[in-house]
Amino acid sequence: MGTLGKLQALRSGELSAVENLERFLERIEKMNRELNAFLQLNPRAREEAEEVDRRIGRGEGGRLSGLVVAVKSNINVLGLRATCASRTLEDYVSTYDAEVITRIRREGGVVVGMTNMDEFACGSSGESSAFGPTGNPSAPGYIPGGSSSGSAAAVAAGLCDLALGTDTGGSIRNPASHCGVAGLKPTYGLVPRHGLIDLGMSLDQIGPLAPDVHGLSLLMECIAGKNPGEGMMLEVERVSYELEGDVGGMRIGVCPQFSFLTDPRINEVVERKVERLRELGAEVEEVSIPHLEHALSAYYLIVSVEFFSATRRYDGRKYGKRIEEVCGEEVLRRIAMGSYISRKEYRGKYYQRALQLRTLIRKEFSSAFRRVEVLVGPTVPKLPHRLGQKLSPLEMYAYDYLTVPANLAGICAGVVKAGEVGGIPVGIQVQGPPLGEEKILRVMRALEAGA
Amino acid sequence: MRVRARGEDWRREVERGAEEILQALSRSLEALPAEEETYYLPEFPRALREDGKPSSEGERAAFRKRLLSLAPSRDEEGNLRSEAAGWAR
Amino acid sequence: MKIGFEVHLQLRTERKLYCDCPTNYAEVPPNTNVCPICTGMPGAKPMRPNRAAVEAAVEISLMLGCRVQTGKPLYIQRKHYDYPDLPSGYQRTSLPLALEGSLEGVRIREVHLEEDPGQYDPVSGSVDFNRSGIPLVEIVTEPDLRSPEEARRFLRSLIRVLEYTGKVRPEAGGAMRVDVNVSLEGGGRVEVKNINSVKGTYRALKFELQRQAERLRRGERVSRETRAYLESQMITVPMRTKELEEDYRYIPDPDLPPVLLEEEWVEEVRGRMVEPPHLRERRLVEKYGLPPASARVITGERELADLFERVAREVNPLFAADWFRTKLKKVLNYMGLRAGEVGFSAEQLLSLLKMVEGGRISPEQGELVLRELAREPADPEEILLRMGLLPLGRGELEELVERVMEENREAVRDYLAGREEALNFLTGRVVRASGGRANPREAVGLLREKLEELRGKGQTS
Ligand SMILES: [Zn+2]
Repeated sequence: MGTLGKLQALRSGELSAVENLERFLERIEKMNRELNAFLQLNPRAREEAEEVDRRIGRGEGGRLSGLVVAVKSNINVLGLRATCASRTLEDYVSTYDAEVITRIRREGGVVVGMTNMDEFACGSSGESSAFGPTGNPSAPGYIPGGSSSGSAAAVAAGLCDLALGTDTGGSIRNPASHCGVAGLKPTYGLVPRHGLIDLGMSLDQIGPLAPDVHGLSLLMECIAGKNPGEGMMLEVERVSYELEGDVGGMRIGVCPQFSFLTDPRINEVVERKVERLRELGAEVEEVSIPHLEHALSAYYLIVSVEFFSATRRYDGRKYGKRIEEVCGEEVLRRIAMGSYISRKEYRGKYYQRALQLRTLIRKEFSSAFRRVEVLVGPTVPKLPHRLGQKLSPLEMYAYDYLTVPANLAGICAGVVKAGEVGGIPVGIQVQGPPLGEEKILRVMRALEAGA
Repeated sequence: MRVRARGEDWRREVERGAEEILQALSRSLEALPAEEETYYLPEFPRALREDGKPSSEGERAAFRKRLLSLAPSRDEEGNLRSEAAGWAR
Repeated sequence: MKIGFEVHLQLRTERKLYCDCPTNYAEVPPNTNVCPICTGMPGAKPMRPNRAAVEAAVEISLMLGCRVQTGKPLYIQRKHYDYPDLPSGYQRTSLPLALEGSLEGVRIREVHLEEDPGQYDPVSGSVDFNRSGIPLVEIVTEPDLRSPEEARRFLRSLIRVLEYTGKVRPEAGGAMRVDVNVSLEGGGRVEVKNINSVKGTYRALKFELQRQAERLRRGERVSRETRAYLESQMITVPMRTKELEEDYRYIPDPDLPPVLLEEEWVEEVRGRMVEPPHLRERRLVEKYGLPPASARVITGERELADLFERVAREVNPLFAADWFRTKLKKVLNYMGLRAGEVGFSAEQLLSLLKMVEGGRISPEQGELVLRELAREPADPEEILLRMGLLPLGRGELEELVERVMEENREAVRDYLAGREEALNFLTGRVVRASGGRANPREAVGLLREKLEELRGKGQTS
């Protein structure tokens, strides 16, 4: 049963919100020990589901009508722990609801719990959580990807209907690809960030993970749109997407730089899907993003500076612990890098160069989108490694090679499962211009339907 | 499971590693054409927020309770307690 | 000696700069006016800047003759340092909204919009975030001042300009923070922080002048450093280097779009702007011929100057100015009132001044009425009646004069014998016997009349 089928069952009363929740809680009970996808369950979830059932009875179930939502642990949910999977915030109980949570509640969503992640979203494997790594239900023994590891794993294992992740350089798309689920990083400024615990403020976006593209679209319709007062938001009231459009005649771009450093087995899976789009009548065209290979460096320089700034509040005086005293290695490394390159004397050499490269990447994407409507390609250049296998920091960063450009350019990008390599899921990435969500969701839906 | 070695040596090691990574990353950017810097992604409206009636007292009172319960130390009046300043001693 | 200032004063708004918390921080228990934004909760994002605060900072810039930076993105910067009063580990401060103004010969370098940190007691370590996020205007001067006295005078002038806008909180309420840098010929530049009044600034400067001069005299170095002023002991002490991160690692705040000041809007603000006090002071001297000292006192508060210009239309400006500088100021000071807080109207004051100017009541009586007017505003005629100060009728005065002459025969004889000073003595008696109601000028006239009459009669008797 897809997301729409589930929604239908809830609205018709065939399934109550409480029943829906309880089925998930049973599965979580059975599977979470192994997966470590959830760090905390919502003790009030049942009450909240009962309330939604009453609302459904009055015909006020909202868009979500009792769908069960898992929330990444860097998003504030009043009364639950937004630990960011770090010792720094292990005792931090959220003092307020993030704006997206307010909206999900309004639409009748039931928050089931807080998911595991890479510590402070600094990671691409799901292993750097202070509370242990997350498993990959679709490829046991392999990393689930990160940083939204728990949200992707929970969706893949059927532990929730929908999940919220966050994506700064691929943190939704990377685990979606490795776990074989759908994920979307919205255009920067489309989804409110109030309540999202920062990694890189100019790159972070909250976005949905779901078993199918309809689920992504539905959750986007609930959480997207401007938040009065919040500074960095686009002038978009609300969104609504029509997914069943024809991709025939659509101009779809492929890019040589995407496949250049990518595992040929992954390229092969992606190419089969591109072929499928051609069969559906899309015009496939080659476009170039000449400086793509430099995006990764620019990304890590920018994100380090912003993360350094964002972590200055974790001084242990108001809540939690002093970050440098308790954090893990990758978090400390990024703070050290950010502290180093934001020094007055190094600004020009690192930070400013990185910001200049960001301009270049933006320009190249925007000229590509003058020629084609969307870009398709691989999501992660490598297959996931086995859990516990040791990678150097630069090897780990290389996972993000194909996902960071979208964050640097502020555009939207989604991932849907394209196939498998040796039993490991491989996702195809569809990127679109700013506010091009409907287009990419349509292409993703066509890919999913033709699977 | 990662071993948590939390000594000064470990810290220094990570920091030294950070510098090496930075060198590697910045090498890739050296030869690129100069461009304007992009701090902000899209062109956001520059509207200011109007002054006006403040938030409700009830809302703030509820938050105050949570704030104080999180604080590692506080006094009976509702101040957080932090360290005294070195220069004032 | 070279002295320069960074003066911070709180702007008067209803909501804080980046959140909707109220701003009456001094009137509520600790940590009451707070929310996730102004306490640095994880994930909280600032709201867009409060327009009223931006407008106030622009108005102040214009009054200081600065060039407002219109038409270009003015980034809100994060200034990072680690201190218990700073909930996010950085303070937001705008790029200069305006540059290059001047006030009384001192160059203004730039004007910024900032947010206030929380309140931190460095001795006990207690932290209250009620103040966190209150908008501040920061004014940076060039090092153009030469002595603590000059610095004090300038600071008062600057505060007067700010208070004229009606958009800052009064300095006296502790809403001011001053960083002062001071250097002597041959010594390094010393910055003194933690000063929050004009008096404190003066004392800190006096102390530094003495300390630095003493070191230089002994042939020691005065090194470049940052010190803190200790109000209780009136001294400055070095701040530990650990407590001041020298590199603030400024970055534009990625959570806030830059402020864009539109030319048109700035001109609108200029149109609404009140006349700056230093210009008004000069105008009062030129237009009304006031002595500079009176003009300075009268322009000390905008409302006082407004009151003056209202009454100066109908009574002699010099007479009015003298009244303002001596009597009115004295009464207000005595009652601890600011001119903006008085309950009486310009018309009531005017009618009182007219009574005095026209000689209906004496200046001394006028002062009594003024005191009453400030205490419990009413029509001065009514006050006169209530206080029994209505001038004596001709008949009453005649009776009094006759009685006094009767009771002081010796003085009368002296006068008749040609001693003029006896007349003064008798006048005094009449005024005293009237309880101050008798107008001395009228009393003298009537006395002389009666005495001369007596002289005529005396020739016959
Ligand atoms: Zn607040």
